[in-house]
Amino acid sequence: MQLTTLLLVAATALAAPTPSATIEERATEQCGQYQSQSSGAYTLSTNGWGWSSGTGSQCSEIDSASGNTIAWDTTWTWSGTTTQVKSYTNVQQNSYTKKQLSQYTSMPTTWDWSYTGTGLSCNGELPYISTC
Amino acid sequence: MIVAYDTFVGISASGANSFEVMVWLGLYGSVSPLSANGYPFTPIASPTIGGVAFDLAYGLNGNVKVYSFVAHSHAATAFSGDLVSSAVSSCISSTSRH
Repeated sequence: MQLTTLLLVAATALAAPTPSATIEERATEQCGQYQSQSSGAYTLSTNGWGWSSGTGSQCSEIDSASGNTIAWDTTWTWSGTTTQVKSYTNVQQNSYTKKQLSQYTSMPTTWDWSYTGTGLSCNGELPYISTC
Repeated sequence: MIVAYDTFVGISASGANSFEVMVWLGLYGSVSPLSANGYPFTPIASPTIGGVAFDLAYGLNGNVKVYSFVAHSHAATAFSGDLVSSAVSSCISSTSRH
């Protein structure tokens, strides 16, 4: 199976200061089990915690980051145990400040994404047991 | 395969999280959020956030209460909403008897 997602997320981080605009085009793809890549206010991290339960790969990269918007993509191919998560990639905003929930009056966010792929064969439940 | 926000809330800024609140915009294949009422889960609430209809699942992962808002369409590819909206907080508070 060959799977690709294209992701664009914009998170207005509440009271956090708006980072200065940064644009970084097409950095190196991260294809390791646990790797990270930062651009502007964001860090992309790969996590292959079920790496050994399948055969395949995952590669992810930041496409661009500017202010409170990041675009990134991840591509993966996995075979193996259908009830075990193989890998995921997440992006996280770096500059937020932990606050009491009641201090947040809003948390506006926009996420445009797409997915193309075939051959999904997995089952289970997150985050308790599994998926793929 | 899922596309999701994953947020964590604890009782102090430096402490362990007590709640995990996810918002699943995409769900492909036979994957389910954690559910205390079986699989497939029976929604404990069905709020609309940012114009998108969600089904809410609840489950306990160790000591962490996990709330998963799953887009009813399983493919909310253009989402724009407020994760601290009244729809979110009221669903969690009204179901926090769990």
